[in-house]
Amino acid sequence: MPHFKTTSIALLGLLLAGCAGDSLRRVDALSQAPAPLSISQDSAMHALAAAPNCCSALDTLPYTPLEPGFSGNVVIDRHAPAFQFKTGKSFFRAFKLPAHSRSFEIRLYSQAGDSVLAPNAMLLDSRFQTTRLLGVEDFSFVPAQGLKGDSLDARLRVDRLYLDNPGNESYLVLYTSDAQMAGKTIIEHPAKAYAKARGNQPPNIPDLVAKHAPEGIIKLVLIEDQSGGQQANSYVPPRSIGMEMGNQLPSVPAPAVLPETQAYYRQAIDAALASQDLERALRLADEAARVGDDSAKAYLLERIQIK
Amino acid sequence: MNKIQPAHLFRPSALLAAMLLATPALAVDFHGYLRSGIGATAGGGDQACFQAAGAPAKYRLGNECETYAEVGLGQEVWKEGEQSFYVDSMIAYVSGQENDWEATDSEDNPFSDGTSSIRQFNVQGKNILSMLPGSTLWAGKRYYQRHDVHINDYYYWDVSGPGAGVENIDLGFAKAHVAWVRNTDGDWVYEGAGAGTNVANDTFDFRLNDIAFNTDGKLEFGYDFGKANLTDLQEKDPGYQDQKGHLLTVEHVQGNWFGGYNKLALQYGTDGIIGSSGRNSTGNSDGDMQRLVNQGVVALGDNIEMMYVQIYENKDFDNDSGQEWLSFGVRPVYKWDNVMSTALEFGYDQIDPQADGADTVDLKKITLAQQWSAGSSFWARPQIRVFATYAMWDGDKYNAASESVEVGDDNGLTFGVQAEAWW
Repeated sequence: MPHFKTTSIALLGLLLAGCAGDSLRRVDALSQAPAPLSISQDSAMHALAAAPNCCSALDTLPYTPLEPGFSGNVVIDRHAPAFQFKTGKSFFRAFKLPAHSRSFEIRLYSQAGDSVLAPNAMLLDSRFQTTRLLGVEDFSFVPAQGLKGDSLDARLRVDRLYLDNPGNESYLVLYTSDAQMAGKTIIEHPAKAYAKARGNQPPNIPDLVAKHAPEGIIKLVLIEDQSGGQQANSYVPPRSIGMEMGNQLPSVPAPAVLPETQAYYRQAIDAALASQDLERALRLADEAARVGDDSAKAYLLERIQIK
Repeated sequence: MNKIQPAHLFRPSALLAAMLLATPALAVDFHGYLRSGIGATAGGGDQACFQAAGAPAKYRLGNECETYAEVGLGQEVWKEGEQSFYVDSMIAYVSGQENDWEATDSEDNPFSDGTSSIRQFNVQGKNILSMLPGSTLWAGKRYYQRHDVHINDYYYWDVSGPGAGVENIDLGFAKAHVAWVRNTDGDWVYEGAGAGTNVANDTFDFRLNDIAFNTDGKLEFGYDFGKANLTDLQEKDPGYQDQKGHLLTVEHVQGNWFGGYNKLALQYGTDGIIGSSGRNSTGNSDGDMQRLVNQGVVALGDNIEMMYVQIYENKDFDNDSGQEWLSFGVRPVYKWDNVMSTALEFGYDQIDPQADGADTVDLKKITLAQQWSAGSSFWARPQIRVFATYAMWDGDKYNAASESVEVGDDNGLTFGVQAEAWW
């Protein structure tokens, strides 16, 4: 018996040590979520239709500055400004992200009850060019657990490795779209959540439906990296709009390399290998690839004999 | 430059850093349950908890005297396409809720009323049986598709234990589940010559569920066959009679039922399986059992949710050791706002023993509790409740209380504060 105790206490200890202090905030179940807004779909749609268009363009939206450790609730209701986005008119809240912090993670939780605001999130660089658009595929339903409520959640990382880069993502806009409002979210019945937590058979009953509404409440949390500098991370942009940092993707393939150039690099690689300077040979192969000769690397690899 | 870069990965610090950075991708599911608190009995003493003599369950609101916790850690450890492996674990702890230090080791400790138990350690392989797409192959100790009543903590269909099986076999009209699970009886005594080994029992559990029956209504059918799995020595013992039993279960669940749901279960069991939730008991006499469990949660208006249950169980043993159990309980909850609610729980249990001349006994319990929870749903937890509980019973026939109530008393009043959480 004592062994079990020790093992499980050790397990628990590991768990707590793993997320001690500040990182407790990273455990969704331990951080409190607000109650979902209770709204009437019809009157909300009516209010949206009646709301004046606040601004002429994205760069004139009212942006509220955020601190790196921000955690709070964003109420998007009829008191919020409205804007005619390309995806439809919507109430919104706009934020200016910390510019001189470490890289950070943004967590969004749109609270679901009888209704939910199915969010869109737009990231803009310092020149108000769109860098990322998050929508239906990026916000996934996560059932209530612990202090966390039922919500549509998304996480994204914002890079601050190179401060003062005008391409850094600097603004965040939370809103919804016509496409999002046409959908609905299935919420796990709380009796099933209880059964799953206890390891019981969940009652085989229909789940609840949250209508997608123009108003809602989104919990927004910014978690700054604990150390600066280059870090490996598992971040993959959820969606490319082909215009990252305002650049168009190249559409013309590089021109074919001349046979003389190819012969030159091969000769130079042979010479480097002959003098046993592997690093130089590798750099030559890389350089050849940059000028358009992809075969130089294969050529080098053929030449190297594993001893 | 560095020609031996990969070797950095094997330096302990680098490896540790890599592991820490990798944690978001290796998220562990932490799940569990706890209840704990403090209470007292009017007139003095620790909180008493009231249960009718012979009743298999008691209504739980303001009527739980122990600290009980389950700590579970699980993780999907491998996934390729639709195929995945999930590793699950759970340790449970219970203590008398009397001291700070309640050790779970039994010896040399004056405050050792704690107990720990290994409840779940299993692996579930989803979609790994290519001939049964969508199914889950599992093995290990597991809570296996338990069916319970929340407000009196009663499990009427529960064969959990060490086992193995295949779940969620898609038959089109239904999902099929097959399992082999184990429970073991206490010491079997070899006739005339000291203690023998324990008797291992097997339950073979077959279920068909998710059968569409009516609008938002589903049916489930179950068959359990339980038998003793005897060693040669146990087999040869002329003084030892093994037992086996059958349990049939039919259950109907109705969704969209007055803003909630209703669940009706009918069970018929024989011999070794009588009185249990599907586990065989070699000590049983022959006989049979009928059981009805009807329960549900309904919304009475916007601000009131209520859970209710009715139970009838008739255990008829050939040696007259059976009983009839009648139980009825309701727990309406009035929600003042998103956090605060008031709950009232009334529960009634009546036990009528089969033996001639034995008295029928009953118990009524009523609890009023002010509750604060994370959200307003009936199921919202964590929750802290301040409660007062009053119980009445046949004091001249038995003592219904766990402590602090004298023999002969026929009623008791307790109060306290309790926390409950699941996650």
